[in-house]
Parts: sequence; C-alpha cells; structure tokens
Amino acid sequence: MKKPREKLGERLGTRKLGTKVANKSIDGICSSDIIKHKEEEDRNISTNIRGSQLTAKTTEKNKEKEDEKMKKRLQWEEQQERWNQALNLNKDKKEPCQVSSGNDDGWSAPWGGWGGTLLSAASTFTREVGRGVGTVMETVESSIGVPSPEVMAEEVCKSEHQKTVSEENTTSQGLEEGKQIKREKQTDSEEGSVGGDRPGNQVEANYSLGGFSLGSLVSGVSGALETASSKVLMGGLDTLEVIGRKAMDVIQEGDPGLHKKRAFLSNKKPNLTQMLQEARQRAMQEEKDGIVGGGNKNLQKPSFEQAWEATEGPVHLEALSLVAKQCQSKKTSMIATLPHFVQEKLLRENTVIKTTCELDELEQLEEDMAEVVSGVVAKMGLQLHPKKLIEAWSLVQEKAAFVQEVGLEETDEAEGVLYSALAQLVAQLCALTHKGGELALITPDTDPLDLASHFKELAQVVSCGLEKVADQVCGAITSEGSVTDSQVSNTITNIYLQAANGNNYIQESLALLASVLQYSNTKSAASHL
Amino acid sequence: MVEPIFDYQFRLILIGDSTVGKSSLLKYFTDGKFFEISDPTVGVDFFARLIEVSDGTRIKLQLWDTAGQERFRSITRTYYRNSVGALVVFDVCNKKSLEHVPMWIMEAKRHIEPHKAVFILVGTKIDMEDEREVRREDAAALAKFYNISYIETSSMRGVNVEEAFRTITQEVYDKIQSGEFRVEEGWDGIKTGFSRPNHSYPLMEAEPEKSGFCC
Repeated sequence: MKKPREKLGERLGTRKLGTKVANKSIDGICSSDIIKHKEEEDRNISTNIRGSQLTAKTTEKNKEKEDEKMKKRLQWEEQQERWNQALNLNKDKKEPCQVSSGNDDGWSAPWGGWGGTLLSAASTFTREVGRGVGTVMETVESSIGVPSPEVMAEEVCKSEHQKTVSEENTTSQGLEEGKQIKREKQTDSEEGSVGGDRPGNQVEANYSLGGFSLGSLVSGVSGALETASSKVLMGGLDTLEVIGRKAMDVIQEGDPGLHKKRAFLSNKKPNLTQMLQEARQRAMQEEKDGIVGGGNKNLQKPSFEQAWEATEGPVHLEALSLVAKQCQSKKTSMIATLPHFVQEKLLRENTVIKTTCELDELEQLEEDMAEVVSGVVAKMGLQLHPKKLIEAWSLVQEKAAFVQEVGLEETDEAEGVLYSALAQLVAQLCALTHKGGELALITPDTDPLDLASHFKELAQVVSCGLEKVADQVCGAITSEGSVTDSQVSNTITNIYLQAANGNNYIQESLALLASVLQYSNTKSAASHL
Repeated sequence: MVEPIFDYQFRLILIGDSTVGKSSLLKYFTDGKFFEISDPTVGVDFFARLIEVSDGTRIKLQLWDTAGQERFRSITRTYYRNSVGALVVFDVCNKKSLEHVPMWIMEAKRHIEPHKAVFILVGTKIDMEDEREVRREDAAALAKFYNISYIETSSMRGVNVEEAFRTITQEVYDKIQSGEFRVEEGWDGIKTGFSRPNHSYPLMEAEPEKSGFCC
C-alpha cells in the first residue's frame, strides 16, 4: 500500500522541481536579456509585452527615426500591424509611431485576457506549461550549443547593434534617392498582401550577416534559429513567468482539489486490507463467542456452500481433479505418438465426450429418481453402488417435507437442514462420478462415449432433483405467505440460488470426468492399433 | 452443522496390500465400530476426525483410504503427493503383506517428493492370534530400519487404533513445532484451520492477490 503513495509523491516532487527549473531558466534568460535590451536598441517583442515603461522608451526612440527605417529594421512591428488588423484595431499605417504606441493597448488587452483565462485554468495545466517551457529552454539551448544564455544574448545584441548601424548608413544613402523611397513605400503597401515570407527572409539574411560579421561561434543558421526561438520565448516566457507564479500562489493559497489530494495521500482512512482483516477478526471473535455462548443462530444465514464444505464432496472433487490432471497430460503425450488418422478420430470422439459432459437445460423430473439412478448405474457396467446416492435423495425428500411443514417460522434452521441434505446429495453424486472415473480407467472394454452419456444422465437427474425440491419448498412457502412480502420473496430467491450452487459442483465433476474419459478413450484407441 | 474448530488439518494416507484392514482401521477410528463385511475400496475413500495433540492443539485429520488392489495402483499413486503422513498397514496374519512394506514405503516416498512425510508401520488383526504369521520383533525391526514407529492394532477389538493415529499426528505436529514441516502454498499436506470455513467474507480469501495488484 505504500508504493502508490510514494509514486504519487515522486510525481508531485518532479512536478515541483520542473516548475522550479522552468522558473530558473526564465529568470536566467529574461533578466539578462531584457536588461541588455533596455540598454541597447529596441526589441519590440519584449518591450511591447513588458509594459508602458519600456514602451515609452521605445516610442521616444522610434520618433527619432524615420518610418522606412523602422519597418526595415523591425519586422516584428510589421507583423504586429497585421495582427492588429486581424484584431480590428486598425490604425493609420502611415503613422507607425502611433501604431507602436497603439500596439501596447492592443497587446496588453489580449495578453491580459489570455493571462486571465490561463490563471483561471486548471492548476495542472499551468504546471504542465511551466515544465514544457523548461524543456523548450533546454532543448533550444542544447541544440544551439551555446555556453550560456547570457553570453548568447550579449552576442545577439551586439550583432543587432552593428546591423542597425550599417542599416542606418544604407538607408541614409537610400534616402537621397527617390526610387529608394518609392520602393520602400511599395514594400509598405505590399506587405499586407505579401504575408510573412518576405519579412522572414529579411530577418534571416540580416541575422546571418550579423553572425558572420561578428565571427562568433554561432553559425548563420543557428543564429537565426536562436533569434527565432528567442523571439517566441521572450514573448512567452515573461508572461508565463507571471502566470506560473500567480498560478502557484493560487494553488498554494487554496486549491480545494489539492487539499483533497493531500488529504487523500496522507490519508488516515482504513484501507481495504485493514478493513478485511478487521472483518475477519470480528468474524472469528463472534464465532468464538457464539460457540462459547451456546451458539448464536442468527450469526450466519445457512448456505449451500457451508453445508457442502461439511460433506466429503469437496475432497472427491479434489481427488477427481488430481486424476483428471494426470489423465490430461498422459492423453496429450499419448496422442502425439499416434498416427495422424487416429489423432483425427480421437479429436472428434473426445470433443463428443466433452460436449456430452455438459449439463443441458433442466427438464422436469417425472420418474422416481431411485429407479432412474439404479437403471443408469447398472447400464454403466462398472462396480458402482448407487445406494448412497439413493439414500441421499430420500433424505432430501424427507427434509424438504420437513421444511414445508415448518414453513416460514424458523426458516433459517429449516433452510440449513435442507441445504445440508442437498449438499449430501450432490456430494454423493460427485463421489459416484469420482469412482466411476477411476473405474473407467482400470476396467477394460468400457466405452468412454457411452459412459459419458450415462454419467450425464445421472447428473441431469440429480440436477433436476435439486430444482424439484427447490420448487416444492418454495411453493409451500408461497402458499403460506403472500408473494409481495419481501421476506418471502427473499427466502424463495435464496433457496433457488443455493440449489443452483449445487449445479455448479455437478457441472464441475462432469467436466473433470470428461478429461478422464478422454484419456480412457485415447488409451483404448492406442491399444487397438 | 457447524464445522468443528481446528488449528491444523493434516492429510494422512493409508497404504498397504489389499485386505489387510485399512478401511476397517479407519472405520473404527472414525465411527468406533467394526464391520464384519467390508467391500473392497474403489479408488479412494475419505474419512475425517478431529484429534487433540499433547498441548491441546486441535488437529483435523483428513484421511485418504486408498484401494490396496493392484489394479488401482496407478490411480492411487496420484493421491500420495498431498499427504503429510502415511500409515503403512500390514496384516500380522499375512507375511507377504509385511514383505511388501518396503515397496509401499519406497513408492510413497517417491511420489510425495519433494515434500517429506511421516511414516508409521501399523500391524492389524492382532485379535487373530492363532493365525499370526509375523512376529512382533520382526515388524519392529523393520520399523527400526526405517526409523519409524511401529504399532500393533485390532480394529475388531479396538486395540491401539486410536493410539496409532495419535502417534503419527503427534509426530507430524512435533515436526511443525521444530520447523521441519510447514504450511506451503500449493501443497495440501498441512493446512491451517480457521475457526470455521467462513463464507460471509469471500473477499478475505482473495486478499493477498488484491493487495498485490493495487500496488
């Protein structure tokens, strides 16, 4: 019982650990990166999301620059524009300064909205996100192969600075030419329809250029990858950090589910084993008390099982099963040595034996059971004595009559007597089946198929006998009390159920006998070759 | 109705030549009666009795009375395995039956393996003193050779019948106490008894498996 708790604990532990790791990496990258960005030029991804303070800076700087420059350098802003269009926050395209400041509202609103939704979302989800980001960080870092995110960010920022400078030069040259301006304007107007392809290409080219010019460890491709991923991460991580922290607070403050889970994990409730052990001890104690105190009749309802255990029926079934098991293995090895055509014949016959040894739907027992039993046993040609079985049947009838007389009063005692007699009857049938199986093995010139049908007939008769007795007793009880009375209907149901239990043992004995007869059949087929 | 309380159940088996009186011995032990006429046993018959060992522990003996006839030999061998004790029975008026004792012991040991069992040599029909063929000393010497107990009985007069079963039961019980024998899964020689076969808590029996799965 300790194991699941430990495992759950471990899971919780790893989950917490995951969150910590995620937070760490977020801190590591974000703080350094963002500080650099503050110092360096604008990176609108972060500034936009970061809030008004940084945005103000950006806006100031943006104002100092020309519109065309802005667009060339900051592809991200263009993308924002398109997103703004999608968000129905259309601003004048020709006033990028306003666009950028307008973006703040546009961005903060959806982010806030997302944040709210996420915060209100399930705590597990948040944790999963935290862990996911942690994994992303690790993956990105390792795939890039940089020593540390701080160094990486520094390099990128430097390259950006250089690039910005070079671009400024180009654009200032270009400003002198009207064509250049035209082209820029064209680009501007086209951008809405062109989509993300062109800006993406530009970014890649620029960054790879920066990478080469630096001559740093980073190759062009990995630089581009880093930038792309950092773009995603920068935007996402800050928010996720906030969300994650907030979510953890919320969880720690009062997640009813968590409380329940904790309560469950550190449960003081009794488990199944304990309950069962207690029940067992209680039962044993009660039993002892019952015996000492002269027997408590109401302690346990009489059952067929209980009566059955007191007979020699279980041992006969056990012994028969031992024989059957041995026969089964002997049969298998013997068949393997026989020619193919004999194998086929045996398979057919043994299947017949098996299906014969299955109880059919119950018929009404019309004839006298003693006569039927004697007749069937005589037909078998084995040294079997059906005396005990016949005696058991007369005992059953006797007890059934007694129960009918007693009726509803003292039903428990009457039922006990009845089940005891029925168990005796079934036990005697099992004994007969067991001995019949043994004799079939050692008696030459017996036909296993015939024997199977004879034993089936015998079992069928006894099974019908059980049914008949149950009918009789229940009929008497019904005539005495009303059927609607729950006690009466319960008693009747129980009697039928208990009698049906007897059928299970009859069926079991027949199935075991089938194995024995199959071996007997195989053996005789082998000896006649 | 109520199954008698017992602490242990021992399964004992009776082996020996046919007509030496195995069934009569058992019938006297369980019913206290002797029947002049007895049909030869078919396969195996079962008897049960409760007995108390010296410290008051209650033992339920489940007794398997095997057929002595040669033709049942292949079947009765099947029944040896789950026995913790074997009473090797011979007729003091039948020298051949004593001569077959080594064969019975050997066969029983072979089929009870890998488990161990307690053996006891039981001579029967000592009431028929005139027809006696086996001297007490000879039988005792054979028992000594196997390092087992020897006891002479008469089921007709009820001499030493109880004693024979008590002796083997005590010996098995002593071996349990010393740790040589113990209850084993999948072996029915020794079973621990409950105060009764309890069916009101059917889950109880499935408990070990259950706890295994839920972990």
